[in-house]
Amino acid sequence: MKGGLALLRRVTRNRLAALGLALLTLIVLAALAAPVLPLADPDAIDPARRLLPPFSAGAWLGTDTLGRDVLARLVWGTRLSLGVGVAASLLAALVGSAIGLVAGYAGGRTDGVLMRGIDVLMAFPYLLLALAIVAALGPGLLNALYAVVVANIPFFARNVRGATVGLRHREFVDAARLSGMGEARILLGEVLPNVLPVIVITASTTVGWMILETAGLSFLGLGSQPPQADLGSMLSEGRKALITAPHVAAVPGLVVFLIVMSMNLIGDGLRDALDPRLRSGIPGAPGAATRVARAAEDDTGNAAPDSGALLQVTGLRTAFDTVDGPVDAVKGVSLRVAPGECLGIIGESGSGKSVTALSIARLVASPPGVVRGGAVRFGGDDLLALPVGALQRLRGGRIAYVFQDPLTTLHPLMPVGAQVAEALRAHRPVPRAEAERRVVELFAAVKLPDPASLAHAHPHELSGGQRQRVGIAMALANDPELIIADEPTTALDVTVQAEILDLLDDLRRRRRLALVFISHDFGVIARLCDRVAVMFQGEIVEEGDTRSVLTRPRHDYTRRLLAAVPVLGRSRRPEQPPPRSSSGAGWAVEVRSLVKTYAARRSLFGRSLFGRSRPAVTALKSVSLRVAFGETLGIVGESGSGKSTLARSLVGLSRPTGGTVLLDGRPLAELAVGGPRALGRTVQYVFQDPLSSLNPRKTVRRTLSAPLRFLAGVPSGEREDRLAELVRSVDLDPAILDRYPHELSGGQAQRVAIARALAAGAKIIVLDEAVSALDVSVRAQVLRLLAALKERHGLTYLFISHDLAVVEAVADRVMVMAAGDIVEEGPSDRLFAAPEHPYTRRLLAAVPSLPS
Amino acid sequence: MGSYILGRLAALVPVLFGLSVIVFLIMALIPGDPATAILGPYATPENVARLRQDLGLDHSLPVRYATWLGNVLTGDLGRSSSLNRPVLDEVTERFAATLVLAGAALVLASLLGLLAGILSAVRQFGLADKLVTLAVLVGISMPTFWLGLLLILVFSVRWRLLPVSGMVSIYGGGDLPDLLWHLALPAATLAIVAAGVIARLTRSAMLEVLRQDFVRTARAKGLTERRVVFGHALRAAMVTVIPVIGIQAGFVLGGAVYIETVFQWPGIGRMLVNAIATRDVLLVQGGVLVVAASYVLFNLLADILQRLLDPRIAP
Repeated sequence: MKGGLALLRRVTRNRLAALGLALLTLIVLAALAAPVLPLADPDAIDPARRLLPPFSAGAWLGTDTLGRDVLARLVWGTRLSLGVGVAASLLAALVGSAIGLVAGYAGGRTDGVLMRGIDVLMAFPYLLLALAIVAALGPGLLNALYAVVVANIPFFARNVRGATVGLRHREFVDAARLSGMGEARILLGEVLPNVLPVIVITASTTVGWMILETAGLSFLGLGSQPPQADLGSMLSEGRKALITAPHVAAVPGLVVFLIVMSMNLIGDGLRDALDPRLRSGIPGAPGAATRVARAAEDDTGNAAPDSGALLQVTGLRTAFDTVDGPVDAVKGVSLRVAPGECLGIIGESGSGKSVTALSIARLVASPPGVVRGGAVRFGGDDLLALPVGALQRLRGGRIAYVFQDPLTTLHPLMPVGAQVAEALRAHRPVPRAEAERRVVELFAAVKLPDPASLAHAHPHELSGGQRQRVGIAMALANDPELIIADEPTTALDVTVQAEILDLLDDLRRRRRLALVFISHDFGVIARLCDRVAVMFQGEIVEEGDTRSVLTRPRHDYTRRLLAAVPVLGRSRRPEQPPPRSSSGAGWAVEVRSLVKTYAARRSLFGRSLFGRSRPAVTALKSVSLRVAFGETLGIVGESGSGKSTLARSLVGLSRPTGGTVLLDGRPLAELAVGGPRALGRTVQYVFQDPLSSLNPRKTVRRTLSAPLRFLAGVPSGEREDRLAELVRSVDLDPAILDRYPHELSGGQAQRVAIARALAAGAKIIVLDEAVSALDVSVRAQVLRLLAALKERHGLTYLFISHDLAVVEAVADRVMVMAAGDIVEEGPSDRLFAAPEHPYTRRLLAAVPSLPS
Repeated sequence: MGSYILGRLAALVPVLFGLSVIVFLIMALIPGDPATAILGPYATPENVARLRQDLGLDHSLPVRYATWLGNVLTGDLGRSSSLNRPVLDEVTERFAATLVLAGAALVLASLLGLLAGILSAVRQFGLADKLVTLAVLVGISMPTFWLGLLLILVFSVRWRLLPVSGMVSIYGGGDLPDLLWHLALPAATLAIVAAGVIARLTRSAMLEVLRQDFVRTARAKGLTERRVVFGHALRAAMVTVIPVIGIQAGFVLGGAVYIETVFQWPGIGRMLVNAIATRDVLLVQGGVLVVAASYVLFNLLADILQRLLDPRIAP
C-alpha cells in the first residue's frame, strides 16, 4: 500500500500523467454515477424531437436520429465501453502473464509449445484475429470482448516471458535456490515482483487499445447490439446523419479519444516511474560536446600558458546536473603533460579520474555533464572555448582516445576496418583504396593477425584483446600527439593486458606520443608511466614521479591505498598449520574427475534453425580436487579456464556431464535429492556482483530471512534476534535490515551476501570472484572480514579469482586452471615463489608489479 | 544469407499450419448449421441434407480439415454463397484494393514516423520534441473510424477538396491521378496511428543508442554530428525500429477494416465485415487466410532486412 502511494506520487509528479489521471477520474466517476445522475432515459424514443442541435432545451448535447437524449446515451455508453475495456484488459493480463511466466521460467519444451501457440496468434494481423473470432461466435458485446482479449494475450505473454527469461538466470534466483526456497516460491516471491512492472506497463499501454477496439467492433456492427449502446455503436448510428447533424457522431468519438488519451498519459507516467533508469532524473541525449558554463569571474583560463607543455589543465571543474542540483565530480584539477610523456591518473571508482580524462576533449555526456570552470590548453588553444567544429578537427586528429570496454565502444554493426577508415577520412580526404591500405598498415602496426581479412570482421567476431588493438589502431590513425587511454586494459585477462601494455609502451616510444593513462591499478601505471597523479573525491591529492609516489607516498590517502593493494610475492601470512586431512572426518570437498561438456548444436541446412551451429565445447576436462576442513583453496585462471563452471558445479548450479562431487563426505547428488535444504546447510556461494545476487525488490531483512526460515528452520519469534546477530557478525549495523540493495554501497551489499551464506551454518563457502568488483580499499576490508569469519566459525573456503595477488594473500593452497584443466597445484608459498608449469610462469610474469 | 532465408522459411511451416488450423476451426465451430444459414429458415429438410452433403459437413472434423486444406493448396477456396462467385476471385480482387491502401499508409507512416522520431530524439526536450510528443500522443489515441468521419466532413463535405468515398470515380475514373485523389484521405487517416507508434519507438531507440559508448567513440574520432547521428546512431537504432514497422503492418492491415468501412473503399476489410453479417462462411475463411498468410510473409521480409543490417543475429 505504501509502495502504491509512493508510485502514485511519482506518477503524478509528471504533469501530463496527472492531467490524464484527473481526466480519467472525471470520466470514470460520471460513468459510475450514471444511475443516480439526473439524466433522461437513454432509450426513450421521441420522433418529434429528432436531431436537435446541442444546447437545446432539455437536451444539452442534442438528440439523435430517433430523438433520444445524446448526453444520457453518452454517459451510459461510456459506462459500458469502460467496463468492457477494463474487463478485457484484466482478463488478457491474467491469462497472458500466466502463460509468459510459466513459459519463461520453465523454459525447454514447455516454453517451446506455449510460445509456438503465441506465435500463431501473432501471425494474424491484430484486428483480423478479433474479426475472425467474432465471425465464429457471432456479433455481440461479450463476444467482442473475448475477441479483443484473445488478440491481446500475445502482448502480455511475450513481454512477460521476455522479462522472466532475463530474470531466470540472474544470480539472485540462484541465491534464493541456495537459501532453500522451492521453485513455486521462487517464481511467485522472487520473479513475479520483478516482472510486475512489465505487466503494469503492458496493461497500461494496451487498455487504451482494448477500449478502442471494442468500440471499433461495435462501430462495425459486430459488438453491442441495439438497444444496448456503447460508444462505438453510438458513433455508427450517428454516422447516418453525419452531414445534417455531425454532433451525434462527433461526441461519442471525442469521448473515446479522451479516454484513450488519458490512459496513454497515465501509461507513460507509469512507465517513467517504474523504469529504474529514469528514477534519478531523466538525462537528455548527450550532445556533440560537453556544455561549458564557466563563471564570469573565473580567471583560471587566463593563467600563464606553459610553453613547454603539450597539454595543460588548470583548475578544471566538471559537474553533473541531477534532480537535486549539480554534483561536482571534478573539483579543480590541474595537470601538465609534456610532449612524449606518459602521465598516469590513478584512483578508485568515483574519484573523478575518467571524468577528468573525458573533459579534456569535452566528451563527458552532456546533459547531464557541465564543465563549470578551469581551462584546458592544448597547443595554444583553450579547448573549453573552442567552437564544436574546431574541436571535432582536434578529436581523433591531434588528440585520440582509447576506451575501456572494446566491445561496447566499437559500433556493433560496422566492420572494424571501416570504423578505422572512417577515423582517417574524417580528417582528410583519402581515396577509398588508399584508406584501406592504410587500415591494413595500422592493423599490422598494432600486431593484429592477418590484418587484411580481419578488417572485414565485425567487433563480435574478435576476441577482447583484438578489439582493443582495433581501438588503438583507430586512435593512431591520424598520428596524434596525445592519446588519452581510459582504463584500456581493465576488461582484459592479465596475459592479454600485458601484451596491450607492451604495445602501448612500444608505440609511445617509437612515435613520441604523449599518453594520459587512467587506471585503478598501481601495477599497470608503474609499468607504463613516468609520472602519476593520485585522485580522490574529485581532486588530485598527490602527484609526482611514479617511482617516488609508489615507494614514498606523502599523502595519507595514497598510503592507505597502497597498503590495501595486495602485491604478488609480498603477502606475509602467519605460518599455517598444514591442511588437516583431518581428524578422521574426511574431506570437506572432494571432486572426482568432474567433466562438463556443452553438446554440439547441429542443424538442418548446414546451420541451425535456432542459432549458429557449434562444435561440442569442453568446459571441464576431468578435474579432481580435495579440500580439507578449515583450508582455503585458491583457484586461479583467466576467462574461459573453467574455474566458474567448477565453482557452480560444487553447489549444483551447473550440472556436470560426468564425475562426482562429495561435500562433507556426502555426494552432491544425494544432498540435492534431499531438497535444497540439505544442500544449502552444507555449502553456500558468494557471487561476484552483490547487486545482481540480491533481489532488487527485497529488503535486506527479507533476503536474510529466507535461509533462516527455509534452511535453519528458525521460528519467526526468534528470527529478529538472529537477523540482528547475523548482520553484526559481518560488521554491519542492524539498521541496514530495512534497506533495499540499491541503497547499499558495494562493500555493504557484499557483506549482506556473505551474511546470507553464513545464515544457515554451512561450513563450506564457495567465493566466486567475491571481491573482484570491489574497490581496493573496500576489498581489503572484506578480505579481513572473511579471514575473521573463517577463524570464528571454522569455515572452509574455495576462493575463485583471476587476481593472483589476492589469491596469494588468502589461500593456503592454490590451483591454476587453464582450458578446463588443472595445470598446476601446490601450497601457496611454493607455487608463487617457484612456479613449475610454463603457463603459471607466464601468468605470474604478466602481473604488473610495483617497484619495491 | 541463403541458408538464413531457407531456415526462416522452414520455421514458417508450423506457423502457417497453426494458422490454417485456427482459421478452419473458427469457421467449423460456428454454432448453428451453415446449411440452414445459407438456405434460410424456410428450406426443406431434404434440401438442407443435400447441401450438408455437398458441403462435406457429414464427415468428421479431421477429414473435413484435410479436404479443406487440400482444396486451399490447389487454389480452391470454395464459392461465396452471398456473391455466388469463387471466393478466390473475390478475395484477390478485394485484397489488391486493400494492399494499395495499406501499402500507401505504411510507407507514409514509416517516413513520417522515422523523421519525427529522429528529430525529436536529437532535439530532446526542445520545441520540436514537445510538438512531436504531443502529435504522437494525439495520433496513438485517435479512433481512426471517428477521425475518418471528421476528415470527410471537413475536406469533402465542407471544402469539397477530396472525394467522400470510393476508390475510383465512376465516370471516367481509374487512372493513376484519380486513384491518388481518392487515396489521399483514407491513406492519411490510416497512417496516423502507425506513424505515432513508429515515431515514439524511433525516438526512444535513438535516445538509447545516443547514450551508448560507441557513439562517444564516434565523437572521439572527430566525426561531425550529422555523421554521428545518421551514420552511427540511426544505423544501430534501425535494428529495433524495423521489427516495429513489421508489426505495424499488421495494425495497418487491421485498421484498414475501419477505414474501408468509413470511406467505402472496396477492400477486403469491408468484404469481411459484410461476409460476417451475411454469414458467408467460406468468404470469411478465405479472406482471413489470405490476409494472415501474406502478413506472415511480410514479416519474413522484415526479418530478412533486419538480418542484413545486423550481422550479430545468428543465422
